[in-house]
Amino acid sequence: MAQKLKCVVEQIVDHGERVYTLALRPERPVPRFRAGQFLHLALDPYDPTAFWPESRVFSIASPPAQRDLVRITYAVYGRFTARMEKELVEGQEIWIKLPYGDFVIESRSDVVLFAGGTGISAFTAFLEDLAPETAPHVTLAYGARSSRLLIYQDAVERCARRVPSLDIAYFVEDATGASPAMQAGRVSVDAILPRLRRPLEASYYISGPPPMLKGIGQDLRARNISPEAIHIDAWE
Amino acid sequence: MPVFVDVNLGDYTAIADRLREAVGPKTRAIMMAHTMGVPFNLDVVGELAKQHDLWVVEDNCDALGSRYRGRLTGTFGHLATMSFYPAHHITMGEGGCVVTSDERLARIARSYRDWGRDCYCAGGESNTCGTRFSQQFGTLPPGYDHKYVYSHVGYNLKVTDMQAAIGCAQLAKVDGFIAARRANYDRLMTALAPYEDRLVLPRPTAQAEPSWFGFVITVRPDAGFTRADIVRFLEANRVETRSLFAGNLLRHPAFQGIPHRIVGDLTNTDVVMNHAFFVGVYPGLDAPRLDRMISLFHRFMSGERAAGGLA
Repeated sequence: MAQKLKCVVEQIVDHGERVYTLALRPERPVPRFRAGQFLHLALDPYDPTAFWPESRVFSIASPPAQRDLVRITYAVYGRFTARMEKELVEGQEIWIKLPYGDFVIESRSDVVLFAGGTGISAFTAFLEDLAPETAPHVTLAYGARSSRLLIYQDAVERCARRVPSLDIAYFVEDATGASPAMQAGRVSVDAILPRLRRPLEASYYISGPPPMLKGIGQDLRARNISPEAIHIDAWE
Repeated sequence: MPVFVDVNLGDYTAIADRLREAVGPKTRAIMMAHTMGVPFNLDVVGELAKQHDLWVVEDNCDALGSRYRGRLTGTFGHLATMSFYPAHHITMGEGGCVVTSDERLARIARSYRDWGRDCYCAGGESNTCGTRFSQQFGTLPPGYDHKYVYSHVGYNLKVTDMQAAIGCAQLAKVDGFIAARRANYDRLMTALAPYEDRLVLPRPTAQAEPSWFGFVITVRPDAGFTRADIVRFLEANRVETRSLFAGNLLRHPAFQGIPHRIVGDLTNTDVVMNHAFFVGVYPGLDAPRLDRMISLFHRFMSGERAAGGLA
């Protein structure tokens, strides 16, 4: 069952361009969760005898096995995340409640992940949880505005070294300083489908900004991918 | 389609070999009760569930606190049910609960409790899913308030805060209640053991440590008296008795003509229906009350049949 927990903000990593990662140390281990689930984070004080304050949802970026430290990544795009940027400091106490959500990858067929920007955080727990012996064939299309904002690049490459069935393609809108392995432009279905063994049998998961969710979803359906095989991590 | 199997006399749980025979290609789940607090054979059920990929639902309503191989019943299956009706180990006046260690099943169970709602916000909370106004279900308009989307037909099965408060207070006493029930069972068992030639007395299954719900007695065919005789005598002397609930379900009007399958026969089930009853072991039975109940058993077994005399 979902639980409400007080946490200490142990670390704030500023990735630049108003993108941050928070490491949160809960007062007790967080409840068991599945890779792909999310948490609610509240900035205002919470009295457990009263109603839950305003909060926003964030993918749990840390793996399910790590229950004593929770990581989330966010980009500033609205009033609440602007408050997070302005108000959160290391050592501060905040409240979270978790776990929630069904954006859980349980496919036995090949898996294709489309991640845009901080949307990668919906997949990092899954990737870190992959076991080399049992992992399905996973293709990750990971895009960001610039190579600097591929903030989980090191982490996913560590996974790829450990799990041979993980294939990664990078996309950067601003290719300045990007490595040759990175494709210029946005994450694209056309660039990914040729890399797949059986595209019509694969399961597709999309996490990123709303225009990307819409665009990738449309492109997949236009290429005869069944709507049931397309899973979108959509938040308000 | 439900499949019925016969029970053992004495522990009143399903016969293990019949369970093995009952599982067929269409079997999806095993759903059984730990009758009167006696755990059914969880070794066999676990083995069958694993072998055939079956769901296991434990009806633990009679068995709060019972253990099998040291582990609490209600924790073996995917789901378990509990009853907090007044006659049960703890009470909230009415009500009960479902327990599971699977968050997905918990969400489904909560939804059935809450009219079949798709929304899973806790009371007083909104937009837990983060997509309250941006999903599309069935032929509802896109963005229809998720709080009022019903993904299946459900019920209103919520307990009140008052019931929950009573339940919490009862939980604090549950260990004492269970111990008292066991002590009362032991007392009755010791007192009635000399009559086992005429009465089938309740025995736990192997590996089981029951948290007794009641004390079931089956009158043997050659006892020289009937269940009606002994029940009338006890009731006339103000000792309440009960039949073992519904007995053979298939003999009830509601079940006549339902699609079903029987593995073997239901001979013992009919014996239970025709010859078994139970008396209470509830924690409020103090020594004077138990003494009186036992005294009545002794008098009946000695041949007394007329009511009265001790009240």
